[in-house]
Amino acid sequence: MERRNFIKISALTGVAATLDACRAPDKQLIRFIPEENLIPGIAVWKPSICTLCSAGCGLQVRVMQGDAEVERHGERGLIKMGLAKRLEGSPQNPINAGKLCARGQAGLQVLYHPDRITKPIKRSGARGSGQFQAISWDDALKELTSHLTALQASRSANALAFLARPLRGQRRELIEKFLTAFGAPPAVWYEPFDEAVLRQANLLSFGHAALPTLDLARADYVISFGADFLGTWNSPVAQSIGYGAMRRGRPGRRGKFVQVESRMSQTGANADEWIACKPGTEGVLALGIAHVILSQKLAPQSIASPAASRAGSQIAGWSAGLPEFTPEAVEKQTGVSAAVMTRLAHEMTLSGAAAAIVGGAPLAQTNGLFSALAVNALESLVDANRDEGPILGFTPEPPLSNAGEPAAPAQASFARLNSFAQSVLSGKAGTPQMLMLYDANPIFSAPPATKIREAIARIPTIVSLGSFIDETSAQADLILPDNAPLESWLDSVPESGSFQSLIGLAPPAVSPLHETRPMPDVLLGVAQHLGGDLAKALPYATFDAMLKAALLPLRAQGGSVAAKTDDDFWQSVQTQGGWWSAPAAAGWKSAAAKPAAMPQGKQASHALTAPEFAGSATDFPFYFQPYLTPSFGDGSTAHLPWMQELPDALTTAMWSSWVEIHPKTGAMLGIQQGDLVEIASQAGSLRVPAVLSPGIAPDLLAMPVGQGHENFGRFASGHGANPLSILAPVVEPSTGSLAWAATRVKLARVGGPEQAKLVLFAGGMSGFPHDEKPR
Amino acid sequence: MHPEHPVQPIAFTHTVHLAKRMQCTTCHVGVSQGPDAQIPNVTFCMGCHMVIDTNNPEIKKIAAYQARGEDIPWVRVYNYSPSAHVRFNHAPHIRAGVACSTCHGDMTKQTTAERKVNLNMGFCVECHKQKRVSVDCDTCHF
Repeated sequence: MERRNFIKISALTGVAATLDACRAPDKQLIRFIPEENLIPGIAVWKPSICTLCSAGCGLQVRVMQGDAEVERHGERGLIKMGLAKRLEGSPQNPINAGKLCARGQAGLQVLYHPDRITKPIKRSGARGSGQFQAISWDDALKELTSHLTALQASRSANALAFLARPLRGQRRELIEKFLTAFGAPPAVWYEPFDEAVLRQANLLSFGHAALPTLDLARADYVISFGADFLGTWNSPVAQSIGYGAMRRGRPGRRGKFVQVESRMSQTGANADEWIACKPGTEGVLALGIAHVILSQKLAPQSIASPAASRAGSQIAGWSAGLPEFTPEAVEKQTGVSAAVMTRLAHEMTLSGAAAAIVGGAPLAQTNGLFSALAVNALESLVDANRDEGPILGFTPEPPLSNAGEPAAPAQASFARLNSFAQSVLSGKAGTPQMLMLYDANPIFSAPPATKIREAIARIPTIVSLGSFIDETSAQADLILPDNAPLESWLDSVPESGSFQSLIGLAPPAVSPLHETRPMPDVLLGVAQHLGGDLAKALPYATFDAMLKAALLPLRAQGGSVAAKTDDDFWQSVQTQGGWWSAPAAAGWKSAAAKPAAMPQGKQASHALTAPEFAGSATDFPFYFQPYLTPSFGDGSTAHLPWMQELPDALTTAMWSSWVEIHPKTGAMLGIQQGDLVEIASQAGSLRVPAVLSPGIAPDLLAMPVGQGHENFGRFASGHGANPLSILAPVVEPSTGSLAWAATRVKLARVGGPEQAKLVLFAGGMSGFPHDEKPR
Repeated sequence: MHPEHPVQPIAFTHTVHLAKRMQCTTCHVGVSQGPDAQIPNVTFCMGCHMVIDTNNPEIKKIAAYQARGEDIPWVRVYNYSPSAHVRFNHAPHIRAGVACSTCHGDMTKQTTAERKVNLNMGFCVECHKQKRVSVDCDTCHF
């Protein structure tokens, strides 16, 4: 064919194809009759609650009419409906005051995710094969109730197990009531990074088994031992707001911030001073500082205060002035110089309002409880005895009997999961025969030594109530998909982040896109169907009736909603996005300043124990620290593409995993930026690209958690590696919590950058100005 | 651009409805409230046609749509191409007393709507100048 003819023909066919495509594309899909009447083009902001971490920030959702591609009565088509277009923080909410983090904004992608399970499905192939067939809701509910009645009929109701992410509020209440009335054991609440150690330490030191709420806006000096409080720890949005006010909100008065950690976090990068400390010795460093304060009588009034003597009494040798923790002795253990310690002690006590906080890796050691108690003792020494109250306090529980978790910390979730797995594997009578799964993915997030994968494979019936296929729900026999959070009635009882007691509540912001049903409504329906004790314990047709019944007693408490009738109150709570106590309540400062009564039998003080690690220092020369990222948390938001493409704040890496290695270590082992390396522990090995970063101790390797999914939708599967899969099952002994920073590893280069997939958005950290040139 | 004489799934006649003294806003309820005038869905049509003129073959077609749970797939008559990067909001024009016929022609003489007026930028600017309202670019291009 001549060139000229070829061009003519291709031009003509191209035009024909384009015209064909342009012809009324709407005709390809039918239009369903809209289920709601909205004015097109007008946006409405509706309240909701963020569910992507446990902080419980208030949301406002921009809802506008749009065309959604949906399936109705077995046919695909378009429907005009209210669609969520944008998430922002709710300005009235006491926690986030109109702000929202990147993960929170990605909540939209949970709603519109192409991998959402859109209707009930039943396993059709072998278990775990990923083969499911769609079934109707009637059949799905029939199947679920028939399994439950079979358990009841065979008098083995205690063989029902419920595995879920730790919840607070009425969803937890509902599951607990359901299990109790059914006769099943309590739910296995599982979360790999569950803060049980910190709650236990706070109970002993301050009398509150909760995460602290920090009034950073008033602080002049903050020292944080490993707490990534601007990124992932506790209530990051609330803390970022307070931090902003502390640094720049008071002209002429900028608070100083010191971060102690072995791997530089996003929070550490913000600090005035970053101090690397040997893993597991953070508590020792805190006591070294406390020793200087005590021996030089730098805070004479605080030393005798009830708060300091209470928190101090947890530490052996406190009343004698911590004789073992002289700066010189502490320098040997921690690697931090005695001069720095002395200077920090002086700075802290000379500045106005100082606070010491602890979180993250220091608590994930075998001596985590001791480290937390040590930092708490230092905190009460520098932060007590001020008229305006301390920086560190605790959010008051809402005045409802069943609002939050019980005051005493329950078993750590790792211990719960372990004993669950062992009871299944033991195969004794009364072991779980049926498992209900909700929003927990232990096959991905528990170390392989728990054998949870094998345990779950042995359970005859597995029913998932989640919205996505992940490693754990892929094993399910039946999936009854939940609505997305924006399509659901939501409540939250934030543990921290607010100085007022607070309950978040929101009606669905949008109608369900797909044929899903809210998990609470499914459980309530099943309870009614099974009758008996269950129907009596849960006498509600829908979840909103249960929420209303639970929240109405708050009307008498005043607070943020003034209403004459119950119905007015219920309406106002929904418009406001929750209820909170009046801001002027003096409860926060006085309650926080006054130490609660010492629990009986807990008087024993704690002596220093050296951290223990899985693996010997000769075979496995490096400490290994998996760390949480703002994008993925524990990995449960890795399926959101916005989170995948969000560059890491320090390395700028995205869409992958990597390991952070100090440039000196890299030079010693011949590892260069982007090389493929193998990290091996006693429990397993993995391969990832290397990122040379000066913000890490030379004997430490750090890896972000969240990637390495085998089966979690199109955006997460097959990216990177999962650092939790090489963790040894080391625990903090007093709580049974997973000591996720207590595994030692070895490192070797196995390939060049062409074999690794390292995607960097920009250059990353080149080095510290005061370092010798690292590369 | 869309055709000037689009073929609609239902041979709706504006003439007949307007002759019965119905107002434009009876059906196009969004016109005074927001950007989009809105075309009512099939349930709204059937609100009257459950009882009125039920033997008319076109009305039977509408009833059939409703019975199938489908909305009527109307073909757009007026629209801008996305590359024009322009936004139009009906509500302020209605508030300012601009007659519907200024931009849509005399609907009493049309059966299914036809594009009687070519809504290009010249047309908009001309009218804005006459009425002495803003001709800043970002009034419409934002």
